[in-house]
Amino acid sequence: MRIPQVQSGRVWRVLWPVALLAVLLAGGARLSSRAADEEWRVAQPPYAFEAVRDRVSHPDYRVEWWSYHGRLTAKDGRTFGYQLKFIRVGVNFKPENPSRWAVRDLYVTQLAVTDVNGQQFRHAERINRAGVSWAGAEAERFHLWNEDWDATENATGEQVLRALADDCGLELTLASGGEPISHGADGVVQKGVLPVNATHFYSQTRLPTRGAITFNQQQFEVSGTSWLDHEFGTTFLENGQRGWDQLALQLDDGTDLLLYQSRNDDSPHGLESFATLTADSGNTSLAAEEFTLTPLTQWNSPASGAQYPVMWRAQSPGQNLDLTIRAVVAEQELRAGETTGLTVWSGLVEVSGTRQGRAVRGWGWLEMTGYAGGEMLLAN
Amino acid sequence: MRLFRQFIWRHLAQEKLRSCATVLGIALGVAVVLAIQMTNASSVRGFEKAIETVAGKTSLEIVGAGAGFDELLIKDLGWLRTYGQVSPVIEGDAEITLADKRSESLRVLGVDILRDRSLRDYQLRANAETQTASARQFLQLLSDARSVILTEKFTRKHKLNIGQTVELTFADKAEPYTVRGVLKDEGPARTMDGNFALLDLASAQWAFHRLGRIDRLDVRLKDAAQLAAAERAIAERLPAGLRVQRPARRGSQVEKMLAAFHFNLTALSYIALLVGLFLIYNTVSISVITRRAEIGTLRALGATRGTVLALFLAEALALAVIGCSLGLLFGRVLSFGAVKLTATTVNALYIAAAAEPPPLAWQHVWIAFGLGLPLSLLAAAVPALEAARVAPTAAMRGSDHLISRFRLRARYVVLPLCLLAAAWWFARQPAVNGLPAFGYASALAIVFGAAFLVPAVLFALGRLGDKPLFRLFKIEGRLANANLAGAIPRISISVAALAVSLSMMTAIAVMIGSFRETVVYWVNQTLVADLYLRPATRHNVATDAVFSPEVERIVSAHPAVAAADRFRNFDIAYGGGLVTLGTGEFAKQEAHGHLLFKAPTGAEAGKAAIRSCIGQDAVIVSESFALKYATQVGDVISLTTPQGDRTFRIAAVYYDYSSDRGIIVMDRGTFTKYFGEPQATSLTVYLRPGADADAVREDLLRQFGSNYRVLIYTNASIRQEVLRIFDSTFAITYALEVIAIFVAILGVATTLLTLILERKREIAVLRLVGADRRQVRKMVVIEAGLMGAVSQSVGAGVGLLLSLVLIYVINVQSFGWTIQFRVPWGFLAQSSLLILLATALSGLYPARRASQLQTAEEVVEE
Amino acid sequence: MIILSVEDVRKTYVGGETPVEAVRGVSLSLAAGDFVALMGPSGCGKSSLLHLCGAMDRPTAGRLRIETADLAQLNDDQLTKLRRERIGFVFQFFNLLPTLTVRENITLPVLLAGGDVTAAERRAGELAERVGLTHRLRHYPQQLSGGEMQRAAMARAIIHEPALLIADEPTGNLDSENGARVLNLLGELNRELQLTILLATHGAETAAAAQRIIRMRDGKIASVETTSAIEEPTPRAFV
Repeated sequence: MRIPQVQSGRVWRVLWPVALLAVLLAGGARLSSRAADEEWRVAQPPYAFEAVRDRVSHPDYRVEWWSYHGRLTAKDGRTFGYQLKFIRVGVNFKPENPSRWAVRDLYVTQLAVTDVNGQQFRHAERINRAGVSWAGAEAERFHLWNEDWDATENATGEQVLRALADDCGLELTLASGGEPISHGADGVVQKGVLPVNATHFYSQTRLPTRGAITFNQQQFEVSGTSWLDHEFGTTFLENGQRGWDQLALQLDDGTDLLLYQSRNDDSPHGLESFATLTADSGNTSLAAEEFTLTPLTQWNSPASGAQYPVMWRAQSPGQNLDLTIRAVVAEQELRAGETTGLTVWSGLVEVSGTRQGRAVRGWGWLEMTGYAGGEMLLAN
Repeated sequence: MRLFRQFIWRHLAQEKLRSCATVLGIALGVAVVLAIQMTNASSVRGFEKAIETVAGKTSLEIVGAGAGFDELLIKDLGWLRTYGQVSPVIEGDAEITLADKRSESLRVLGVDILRDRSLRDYQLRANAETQTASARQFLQLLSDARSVILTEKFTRKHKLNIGQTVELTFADKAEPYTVRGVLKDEGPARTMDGNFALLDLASAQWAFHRLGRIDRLDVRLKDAAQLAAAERAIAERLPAGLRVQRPARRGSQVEKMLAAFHFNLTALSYIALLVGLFLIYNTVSISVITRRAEIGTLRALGATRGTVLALFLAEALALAVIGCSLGLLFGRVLSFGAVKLTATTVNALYIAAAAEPPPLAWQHVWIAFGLGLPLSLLAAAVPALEAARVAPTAAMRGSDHLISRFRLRARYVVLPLCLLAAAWWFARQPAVNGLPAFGYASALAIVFGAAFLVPAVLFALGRLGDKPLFRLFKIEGRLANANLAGAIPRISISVAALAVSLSMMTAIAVMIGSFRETVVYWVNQTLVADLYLRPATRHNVATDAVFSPEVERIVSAHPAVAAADRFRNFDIAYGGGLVTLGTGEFAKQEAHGHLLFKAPTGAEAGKAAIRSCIGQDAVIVSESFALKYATQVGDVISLTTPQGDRTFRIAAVYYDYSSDRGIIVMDRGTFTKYFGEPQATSLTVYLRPGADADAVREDLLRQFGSNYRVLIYTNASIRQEVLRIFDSTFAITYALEVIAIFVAILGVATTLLTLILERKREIAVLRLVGADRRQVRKMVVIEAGLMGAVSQSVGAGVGLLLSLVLIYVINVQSFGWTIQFRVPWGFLAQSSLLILLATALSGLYPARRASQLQTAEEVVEE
Repeated sequence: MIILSVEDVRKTYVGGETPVEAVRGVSLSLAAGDFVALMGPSGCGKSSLLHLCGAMDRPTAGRLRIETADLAQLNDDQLTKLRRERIGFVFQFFNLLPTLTVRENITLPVLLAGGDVTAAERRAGELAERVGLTHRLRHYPQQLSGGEMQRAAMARAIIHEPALLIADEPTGNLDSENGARVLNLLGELNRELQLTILLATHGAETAAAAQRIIRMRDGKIASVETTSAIEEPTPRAFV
């Protein structure tokens, strides 16, 4: 994210007056929300994103994550998918214990690499308290870290990701890409019926990426494109909510598409579901009823016993959109029972279909939670 | 084999009493050795086991130079990740107050559960059912500062439930904690038999007043096979003030610390065994002597010398096998008592150890038999060889009742003198590896010298004893004296055994008596403050319990308090072992304290030395430190501080009897410079003139309220406490000695009994010429008493010599204390009287047997 | 004056499986100054009779009196008292206490009876002179020859001036010369002190020293004969 973008970005420009108002209102909102949810700040509309402020950490909010994922190709044509997700979950807004080890936030970092050609998937996960700077997310400058995995900004404003685990790893430099895309309405995505269950959520797409991927102790020089989702606020599963499916797709006609589907007891496509379509014409927010996500093929995870739809059909009649999404590797399940206790499916997908009557192809990232039972959200 | 059954077994069965006494003797000997082994093991093993169970999969640990180390150092230790999992640890002891107001000690482990799960095995039960919680869920149970997880065993025992509130006391402060989960009896939950509490790292830091510090970093290597290489590599990269070691290292340090204490107990326990072996020797020689004719017959009938030798060795073996087996059982029973007797000492002076002896294991069977059998055979070899030398004609010669009279040969005097000379030489040799090996050699030489001197003493008694004994006891006295003089070769062994035990008893009594007086003097001289405070959970110096700042504030703000010297101490590694590093306020010490200085001499010089330490890199050290590490005033010692190795000049050596491990004390200012601001582990309070200590104590306790648990000793009670610990330290010593003496008296009784059976004819003659039963009884009892008297006089004499070795060699080398030699005359007189009485009493049964002998047949029928 | 009176005395030992009747109704009587020898083969009961007469044992049946004391009426302590005051013993194996000197051995009976030491030692000196052992008083038994030991034993047997001397094969372990000396001594004592002696022996030669010889067989008296052949004392006896 380069600073000039703040001025030139359409979204920001449009929202600028609103943002001012939001800041003023936020103070009041913060006060009123303390009683409701300890002292954590609640995402409330209207909210205007601001480049510097919103790229860094927002420690006042309870949950925050930066999820980098992308599709990279080595010189020999080998294709990799990757995900590096830094999560901060507030535990105790103001711990009574003055110890440095007292837990205010937990930092969870997930690393996953998919070898498309080899049909293999590797992942690793870290969970830490801040302690003596074991993990953290700075609020003053862009710096996320979990031990020696980190995301920083280099001198030229590029984002540098570094994470090396036993059998997978990456060291990538992400140049600036398209404009930040804010999701939801008035800068707020409502994640449930409760007003506090809401986040501020934006994405940066098509970030030109180069660097190295390590897979099974083998290093590959790679290049490709990445996508960043940065979300902060309060999000948890309410009664009746079972999980969600989220798709971040980049089509070869230049369209970026984020589809979020909340699976509830009463409907597999709950009211909180939303989508954001970004094309040359600008951002279009789609409400739940404006699109459908239909599971097609199921895959049974032998490890967790969960059944995941690894092929989907996404349709939006209003947008003249009909896409088929297929996991490049069925087994892209992150199991972290030992550390976070969460089991999710998160992996690289291929897309094909039609938009505006034209055939489109592309790739994307699919995240599915709530299929393996047990806990699904860190903040719950 | 048949011959053995016929010749030995039946004989043993016939001589029930003697066989039983011998077996009992060996059994007790073996039992005592075993009990001490187990007891020693229980303290070290208890500690090691606690280390082991807590260590889990930890392969290496990183420790600091002081009490833990600054947690910020961890920031720069990220590279450790390449070697394996790293988890910071706070460990300590806390007390839990149970519903019935009793309290129990808990070993507390404070960890970051997110990391620690890969090092230790935690099986959590957070509700009725077992569950495998994720690290994150586990953490949530602990993240509240007043959360604790206890063990299944403990909660079951005390009927505690999840969600219940318990009161935990850390250092000096009691707080309510919520039981948030229960650990199944796996991994660290087995520590201290389930008396284990798991806290979050942050909570533990806060509770123990250790904010900003970490006790150690536990490392689980990725590749455990590369332990040595990793240890070296890590050691090279660690910054000054940190070092890497294996967890077992702490165990071996503790072992080393306890080595002298254990060595002395072990040495003492062997006395009982030695005496038991005397019994075997005795029994076999008696059976050889009394059965010469039978042996002769066997030989005449064609038994070879080898057969005879084997027969008598087999006799010893039979007795020893039964004895050792019984000893194994007795040892187990005794060990419970011994553990109880030593626990106070070990807990007070060294470590908090488990108070239970280990269960019987093969290793103990091995000790019992591996030690008992060969030694028994060795003891029996001498008389068995004598048996093998019996000529076939012995059968024919009929009676050789008229034993040739004992002649005093030069060797009976020369040999003891040589041994005493050897003892003198040994006593002047230095310690070996910090253990007084030569000191014990010296003691052993003295003991054997005494044993070999016994025949000569008995001879002298036979010569000179007639007149006084006749005067004292009439004709029975004369007869008894004559009987003993005639049986010198036979009774020497028993008398020597008893004398040896008694000499040890005397020596130890003298040593303890002297030591006690020295300590009393020291206590009276140095413990001059009015009040002594320590956190309630600080049971020994190893417990790192520090005061809450609030307590320190209340104390120093009290109007009656003139000065409160904040003292802090903890263990540091020095010279391969552990020493205590302490820090106090030297200005207050100089103004109010009364340390006794060994060097420089004189109170004024001492005060000057203390003054000279202030603001300097100078320390004062305890006498035991000076002796152990051969240092003196003016020397420079190097200590590892958090800032690396630093040197300190020794300004003075002071007397201290509170710990044998060596103490280094520096002024608070100096300490702060290198180790950081110290928190007090004890407070020495001097009151203003006229203040009533008891009233101030009450007032302070009232001000502390119910939350702070502080023990306050007044001057009188701290003196009592010191002496209580002192006395309990030596309780085991006395107990061991009493057993040895009991075994020795058993030896006297069996010897007498044998002598009587052997002298049947003479007793019958006596009866014929007019001695009535009473006179015969009196005679035998006098004989017993005489043996006791000789043993006690030899024992007391030699004991005084031994006590010199104990005080000036063994004690100095193993503990490093100056003890003023004092002879406890009262005790000696008392014990002499007791021994005389006990031995005389032991003569009662043989006397009864003697007086019941049938008169006529013995004399006439040949 | 009757010193020893035995009337139909029986002694049965119930030690083994079958009771052994050692003495089967013996009657005899010794007056003061009598010197009687008991003769008979091994197992004839003479030893048992001797024990009875020496107050070492009580008869199973019959009456046995020593002076005025009826043995059947006495308990062990009284028997002991009787022995130490009225009876002296001489044995085949001398039975001196090896741990005591000759003097101590001789004085033993007096001292056991609670007698005065000085008097006892004076008397022991006299007796030693009498039996020719003055130079041996400080010696221990094992330093003495057999004859000397037996003479010492005799001195011990008479130091308390007993009424009756029991001698069990006193010459059995001695060569003929020493045996003769011992017998001489016995005869002298008998004559000079009017000491009553009951002597048991195998040998006819020894028995010949007595005034009367009682032969025993199977626990009974087989014959009684009186001898006149009492040897004269010879000065040679005192060396």
